[in-house]
Amino acid sequence: MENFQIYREDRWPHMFCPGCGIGTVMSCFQRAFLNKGLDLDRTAFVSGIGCSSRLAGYVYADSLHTTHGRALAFATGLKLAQKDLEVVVFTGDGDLGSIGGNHFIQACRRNMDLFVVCVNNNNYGMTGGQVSSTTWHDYLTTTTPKGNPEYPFDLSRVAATSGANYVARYTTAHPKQLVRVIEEGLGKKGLRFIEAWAACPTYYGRYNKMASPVEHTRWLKENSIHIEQMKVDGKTAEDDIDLQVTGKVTIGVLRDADRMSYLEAIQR
Amino acid sequence: MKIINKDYCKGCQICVEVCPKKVYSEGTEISDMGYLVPLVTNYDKCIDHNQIKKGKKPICELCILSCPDQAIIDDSYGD
Repeated sequence: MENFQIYREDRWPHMFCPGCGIGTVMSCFQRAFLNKGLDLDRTAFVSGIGCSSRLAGYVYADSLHTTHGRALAFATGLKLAQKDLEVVVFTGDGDLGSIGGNHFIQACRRNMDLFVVCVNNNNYGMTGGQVSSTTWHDYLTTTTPKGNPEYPFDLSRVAATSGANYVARYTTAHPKQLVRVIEEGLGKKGLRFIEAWAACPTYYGRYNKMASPVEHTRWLKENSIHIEQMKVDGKTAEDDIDLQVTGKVTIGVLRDADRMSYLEAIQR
Repeated sequence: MKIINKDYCKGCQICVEVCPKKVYSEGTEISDMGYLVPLVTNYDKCIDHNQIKKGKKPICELCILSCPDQAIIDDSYGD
């Protein structure tokens, strides 16, 4: 299968660092998109600011590169103006969880018909590896040289409790599963939120003793636990809300609901 | 045959790590981009290669999906 069916080969090699997880998310998204058989002409890509938001510029489709944190607000407007367009939002943890946190919660609450892929690399990679709202407790970054005193924000749980229709989380160490959930999400209505934990060897990895992409991928695999496995182990629901209680991040499909979407509600 | 595009590969060695059959090995030559490009040394053991030989669909594709630079292609798929 050809590697460049939805991406612009004339802009290759892309600007991401060696081993960056965003590239893996790109591969997985392309595979899921082609499996689903969607039309590039009827799809629009929206992104904000950050490493992961550069992704929309590499797609052979109409894309909208918007202001910092407001990708979901722009996407909401686009979807309401062009109702038959599939709107895909690429965003990062700083864009979605920190500056755009309120837009994120409100879009989930309205259950807007958007497909959101959040590439979460646990720090602000583009600006030099500062602490973000999803950096783990006691992990080192450029601005927290003695360890992060704060606790991380669980973006998938926020989306699920705010009312998003479909919420799934996987890491880039699980590419097959990532393809499956993206494919499943593209066929649904309402807000579909896919959180992909990605490796950032250049900053997060280098400060936390996993500087090579291989070590970081191994860390992602070792520090994630499937939600079904947690049930087998007899862990309670509270254990998987706090990312630090089990010391591992819960992966899998965290919510699969069939709530009425915003477009359905206004067209009744 | 699995082919690694030397113009795109950034030498992250993720394909060497993820392959369950150890098809790839760490390279020895530095590419024009300045990275250590892995080598395809054990292609006979590749799961998808054997699947295609039996006339079945590829099922693994971990290296192609994991590659952050879209540098790996398999020319035996046909398409």
